[in-house]
Amino acid sequence: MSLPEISTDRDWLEAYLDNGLLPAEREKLEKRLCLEDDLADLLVSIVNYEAVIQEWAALQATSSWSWSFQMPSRSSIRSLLLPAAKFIAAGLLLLTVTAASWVGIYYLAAPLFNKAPSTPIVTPTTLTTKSIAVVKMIFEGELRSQEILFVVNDPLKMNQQYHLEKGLLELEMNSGVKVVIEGPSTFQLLGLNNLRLLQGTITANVPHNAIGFTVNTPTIKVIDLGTQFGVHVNKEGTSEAHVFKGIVDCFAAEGEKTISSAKRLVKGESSKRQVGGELVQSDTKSEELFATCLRQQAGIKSLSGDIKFLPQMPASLGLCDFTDNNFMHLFVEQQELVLPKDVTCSVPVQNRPGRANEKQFKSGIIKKGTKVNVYFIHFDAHCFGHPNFSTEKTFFAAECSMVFKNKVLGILQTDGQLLRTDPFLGNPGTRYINDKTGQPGQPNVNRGADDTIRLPLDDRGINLNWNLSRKRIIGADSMRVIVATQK
Amino acid sequence: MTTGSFTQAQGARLILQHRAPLYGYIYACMRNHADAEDVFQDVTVAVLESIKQLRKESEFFVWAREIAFRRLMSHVRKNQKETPLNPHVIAAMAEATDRAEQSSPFSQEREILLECLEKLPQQSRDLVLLRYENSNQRLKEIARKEGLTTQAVYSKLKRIKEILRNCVSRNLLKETL
Repeated sequence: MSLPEISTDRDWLEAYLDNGLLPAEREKLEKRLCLEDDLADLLVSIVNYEAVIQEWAALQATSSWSWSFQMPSRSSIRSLLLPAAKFIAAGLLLLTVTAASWVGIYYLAAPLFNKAPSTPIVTPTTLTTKSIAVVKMIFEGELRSQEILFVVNDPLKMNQQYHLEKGLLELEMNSGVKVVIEGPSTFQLLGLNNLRLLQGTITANVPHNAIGFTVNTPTIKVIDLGTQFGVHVNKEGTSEAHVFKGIVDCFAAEGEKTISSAKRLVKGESSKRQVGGELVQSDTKSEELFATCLRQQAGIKSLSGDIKFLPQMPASLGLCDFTDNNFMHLFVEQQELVLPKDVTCSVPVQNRPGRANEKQFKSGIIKKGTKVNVYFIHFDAHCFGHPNFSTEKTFFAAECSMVFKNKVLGILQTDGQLLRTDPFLGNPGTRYINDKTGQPGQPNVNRGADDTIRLPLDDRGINLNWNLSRKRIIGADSMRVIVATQK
Repeated sequence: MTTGSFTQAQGARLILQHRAPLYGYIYACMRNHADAEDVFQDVTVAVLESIKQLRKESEFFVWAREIAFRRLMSHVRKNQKETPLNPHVIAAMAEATDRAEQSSPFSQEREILLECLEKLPQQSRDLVLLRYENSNQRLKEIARKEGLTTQAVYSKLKRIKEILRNCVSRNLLKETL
């Protein structure tokens, strides 16, 4: 027995849940669970508590950093009210959908469609007083409601109409949904897990405990089934939904009323509807329509030069499988990953004076348990057999800069480092090695990047100048970048 | 009591309402929060996909729990080598979970437990968060971070859970009186 103080049945069951029993002890306890109702009932009671504590901890985590900045401002006073608001949110989460219908919100949707964005909506005061989301970030824009300016950490209220003239806004709903909104956009929060987009562009990241998150627009209604998706509404009310991960159900809608059966959309699919029309597949490229929102959601502040960000990783990044002569590509492999083990990599040299040829990186370790975002940069030119392959142009150069929200903790740039970390830092749905690169464990895999890699002084970005040759050998330039998730 | 054809929005509400015992059942079988969350998400999607089959709201829990049971058994078949689960325990816990929900639904206790969690002193809250937040850290890791022995962390968590149980019992009693 590995845990101390095991004397009661409760202790045994808790040790069982912690996987802290020896195999023989576990088998004995499992046999008892099958034979003794009282013991099984006790385990039910314990796991029910565990489920609620887990739920509570997740709820705290989703808005913990909004409490951590205690500044004597209007925002901080409001943020002091957050625990209460969140508590109410937890209790009211169950009523997310029905709350909307109690106050007859939806019937207002149709007339809203033709109204100017700033038109306030009159709703029962009992619900308008509840704050159901918090502003997490505003970038190069102003968020207003009825001429009131909102700033970071301000709570947003149910049913009030908000307008973002330009720039980017990041909200966190009390349900845990993270929404990025690109201006110009006009929206309302209809409920704890429900948003109406009257015009503009949003992307939403929905954690599993907020499944059912709904976005209403003038012409469609999108219900999330655990996913990341985007919705865009143009000035005419034509709306489209695009799925980046998971599944959503999309309905043709007029106001509250859905007027079609659900069209299920999975990763990579989209649906569009104009006023009075049918739901049809959208021909807009998701990565272009939602580029700014998706970058923000991925923790990337800006990109410049010969690089493109793609929200979805391809099925294969093996040599010659994903090629482009002109651009590097940046992908997010993992977000909010808690490192399952120490990662040996190149870490930034601290307190660099900023000289031209100074050493930028040294060998180091990022500790197990650190929460990180992992990015993959890939540069691979067209190979023999590709329609655009040329025997005349065999040298390719690309130069770019990227700025992340937080500091770069380390990079993995050699074949060995990449191979060792593919299984736990890589995207599970992507194949990194193919028969052109050899098998894992073999030398000369030839995808590591050995060209110029420079860091800005604050370590919050990376500048690359990579060259690729298609003369005698086939190889790509790739690099994995590990970035902190918190300041 | 709602009867008849249920919408996905109603399904989502019912899942949220019964989240604790459903998730608890899956967790009791998986004994790992990360895996339990994955299975719970699968179950949620399956429930919403087939919500039209539900006839009465009162039948929701047992129906959804049955879906969870099937998902867990499927997990047993697919992943037996990696995560050995005992199918007999999965069946026994299904019965026990149904029994508990029928005799006394957990929803009221859940609300009170959430209130009690909010009342915990900061130090206790921090420890609970460390244990449960995202990474679900093991006792050894927490002990190392906090500069305590594993036994000390275990005892503290045990004490916090005892305080929470007492808090819930007291408040349940108050509401009964």
